[in-house]
Amino acid sequence: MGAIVVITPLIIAGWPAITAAVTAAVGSLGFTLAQGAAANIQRADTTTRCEVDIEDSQILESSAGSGEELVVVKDSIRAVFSRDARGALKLSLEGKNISKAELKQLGDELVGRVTQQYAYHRIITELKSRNMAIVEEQVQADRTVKIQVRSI
Amino acid sequence: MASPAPKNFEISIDPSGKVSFHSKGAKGSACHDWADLMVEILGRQESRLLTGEFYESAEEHAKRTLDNKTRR
Repeated sequence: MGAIVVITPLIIAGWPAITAAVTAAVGSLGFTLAQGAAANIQRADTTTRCEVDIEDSQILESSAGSGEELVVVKDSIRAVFSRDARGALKLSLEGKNISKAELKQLGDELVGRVTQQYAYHRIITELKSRNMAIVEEQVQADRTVKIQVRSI
Repeated sequence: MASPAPKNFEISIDPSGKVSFHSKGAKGSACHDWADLMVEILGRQESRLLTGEFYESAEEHAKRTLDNKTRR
């Protein structure tokens, strides 16, 4: 008992941290990182597109500039994480033989998993720097991560 | 920010990224210290629910312990 606080994480990070979160997150939804030719899908009349803006985010501009993007693919679906003009994280999706609503739902799930991974790493890093011990970690059936923490 | 008083707590991160922080065994303002830290490092607080233990200050706890010892 004590206090129960619900928090919506704001993603504020450099591109390397975003890359790490995306890499760790997308596998759980069947996506894989794609590079080169594998990052492109053959477009057809049946290609559907949608964009998911992640308002609670700020990608810190690196010395390499703002041209970073990360492509993940699953079957005929291609999802691109990038930094938009305002510096926020943006997800663009396109896929064949899929409705816009289904694509949007998939996009929301991807963003959720990336946010989950980002929050997880942020919490673990902070706890370790404060000499707190992770007593137990569990991933539940609904993919909720539970962490039990105690002071050392 | 300095580390708050050490306590036990549970953190849940759901698949949408939402974080629930549950402090256990912390009394009075110690409940808030870790919760505030989590909010500070993660982002925006959506809600905060104080449970019974919050109202049990460390002072009350100490008094009760002393009373119990006196009775023995």
